[in-house]
Amino acid sequence: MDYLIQQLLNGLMLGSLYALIAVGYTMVYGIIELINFAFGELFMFGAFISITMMVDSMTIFGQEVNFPGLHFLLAVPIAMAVVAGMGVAIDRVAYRPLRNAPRLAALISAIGMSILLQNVAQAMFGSSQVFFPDIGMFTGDNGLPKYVTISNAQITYLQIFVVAVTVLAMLILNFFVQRTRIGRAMRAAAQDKSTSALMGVNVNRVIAITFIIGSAMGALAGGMYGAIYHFAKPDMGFIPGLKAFIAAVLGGIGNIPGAFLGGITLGVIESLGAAYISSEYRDAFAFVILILLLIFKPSGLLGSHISEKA
Amino acid sequence: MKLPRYLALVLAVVMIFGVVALVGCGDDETTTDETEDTTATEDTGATEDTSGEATDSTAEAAAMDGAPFKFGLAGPMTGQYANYGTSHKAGADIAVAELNANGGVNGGEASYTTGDDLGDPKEAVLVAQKFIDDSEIVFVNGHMFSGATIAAGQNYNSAGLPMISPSATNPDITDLGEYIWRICMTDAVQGEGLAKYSVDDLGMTKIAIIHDDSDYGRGLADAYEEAVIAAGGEIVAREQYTTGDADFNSQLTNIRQGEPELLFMSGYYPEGSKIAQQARALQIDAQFLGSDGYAADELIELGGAAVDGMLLSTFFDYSKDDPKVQAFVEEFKKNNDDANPDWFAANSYDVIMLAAEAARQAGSNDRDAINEALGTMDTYSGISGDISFDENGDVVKPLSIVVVRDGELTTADVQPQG
Repeated sequence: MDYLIQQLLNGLMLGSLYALIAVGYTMVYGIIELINFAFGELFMFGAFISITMMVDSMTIFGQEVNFPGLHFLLAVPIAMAVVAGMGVAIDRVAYRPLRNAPRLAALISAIGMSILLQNVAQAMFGSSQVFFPDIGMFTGDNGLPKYVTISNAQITYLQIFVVAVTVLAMLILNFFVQRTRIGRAMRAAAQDKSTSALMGVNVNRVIAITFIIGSAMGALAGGMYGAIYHFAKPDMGFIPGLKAFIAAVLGGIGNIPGAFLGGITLGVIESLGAAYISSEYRDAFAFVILILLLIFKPSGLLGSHISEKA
Repeated sequence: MKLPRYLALVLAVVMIFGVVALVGCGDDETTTDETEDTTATEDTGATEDTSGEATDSTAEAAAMDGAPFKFGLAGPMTGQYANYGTSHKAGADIAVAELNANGGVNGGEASYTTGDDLGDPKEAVLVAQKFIDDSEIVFVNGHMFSGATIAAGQNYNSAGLPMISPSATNPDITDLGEYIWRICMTDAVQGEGLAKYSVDDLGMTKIAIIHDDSDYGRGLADAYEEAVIAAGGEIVAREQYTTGDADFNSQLTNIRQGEPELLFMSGYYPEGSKIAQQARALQIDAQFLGSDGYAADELIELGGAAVDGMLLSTFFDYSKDDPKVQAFVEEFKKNNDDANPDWFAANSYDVIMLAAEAARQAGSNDRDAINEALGTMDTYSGISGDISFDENGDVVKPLSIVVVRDGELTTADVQPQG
């Protein structure tokens, strides 16, 4: 029983990170039906920019550059803002010119963007792992993380913090999309771009806002990921990006609560699969689930409105 | 009209020859550059390294008119694995400078030519041909990767050019023939040695294993598991992860169920530092033991407090209390921005010193004479440990264990016995 609880907690924490990235995928897909493969890289930049804000100096493009050395709680919002800007720029440069082109063209542009960003990061920060500084808040005097014990299962304060931040982010986001004017414009544009444009919605602005929010969420996930695993690396976004994409499809792509549910589900299934079946095939579980889902419930767990649209 | 056409023809001929000449020179030029390079380090070596007998060695250096002791230095010098080649070359530079400061080998000047195999078997074959055709080359220090070594090794063996690999661990390599040697131990030998160390020397009986999915990580874990059981230990859990993963909580939760006294990790340090951190966060208090892929300064940088006290297998202990080792480390730091040498640099150095010793014993800088002496010579005491060969050309060498203490790798108190 303790064992099961521990594995569920492991899965919950992993799933929270997937969920944060999945939101970006799902929002952008919901509105322009494009899978923005560059989200994995925005996630990566989120982690790197958080690091630069937290350290005193760092080597960038081979030059020693001085940085402010801020607290984690300040560094991550800055990273989110910078990455949000990058998200908008990517849309402007790589996707907006292709808005009316065949969808395949935009998809290829997204893949190209992803490779480009990875190479830029490699040129900037080098190709090996960079240490993500300890965030300080949840570390004991012995240098190891503080934890609580729930019936013999351990969970660190940091893991609780990550899950709490994820839940909070999802609630705020859901409120924003359901209850605000811009949120309503987003939902309208997602259903029918040309009609909502006729109703006075500035569709390009709505898309830009979508990219801002999605990218900021990716950067938030990157900061959290770095805090937990203590590293950043130019290719770190690839696998989490893929998993988040699966989480988004699992929850029903285009659906925000679905992305959250999909992320958590995926994390838990991975942990339980590794626990009870085999850790060797851990990554395979995610893909097996994707295939099964596409066969039996292509619209995802909560994603009925996709089929209406199509 | 006539003149321009004539000019064009002349230009074309000049250009064609120019290109041919450039391409032809290309190789030669790099070769000379390399030789000049080594001579340059040699000079600094002569003045700095042997200050006591400076006058003596200069006199001898001037008198190096015997057959040259020239070797081929093969490894990935450019491309994605260039960092290995850089270490390889850094070790070789120190060895060459030291040999020449002491009058060369059999009165012949030590020097080398580099061959860039990019770590690729196809390129390695081209490098092998270049070395075989250069009659001045008496042995090859390389190749570094197993694939490249196997591809090139066949050619060296049939041409009768001795090759000593500093780092290729695939078991099949030394079966290629009598001219093929190596001074690093195979994964199977390391696994067995670490198992005996865990059970016999540390007295641990409940042992868990976590390894990556590479041939290296898995092969080492297999050999380790088998030998632990043979030595009377118990494997309470064995888990695998994918290279590049960052989350190991599921595997570690499984491992925690087995309540191990010792956790053996087989793989590379980027994952190792995170495994250690997550294991400590899950309150696994077992002793950690890592394979040689973990023994890097980066492990400490990335792992922090969680890797404190971790034991690591290594092919080169740079903190070893041995004047030879410390002289090498000092020289290496001087040439490389104060960085500690890794085992690739140390083994490259040892390969050259070993071959030089073989040439001295044979009394000649000749391919066959060196090869024969390698087979008959006694144990050679190198900086990476005492080296001798079995009948197959595989190295017989003790394992070194280091421990992470106060943010540094230092010689562990308990060393493997026999």
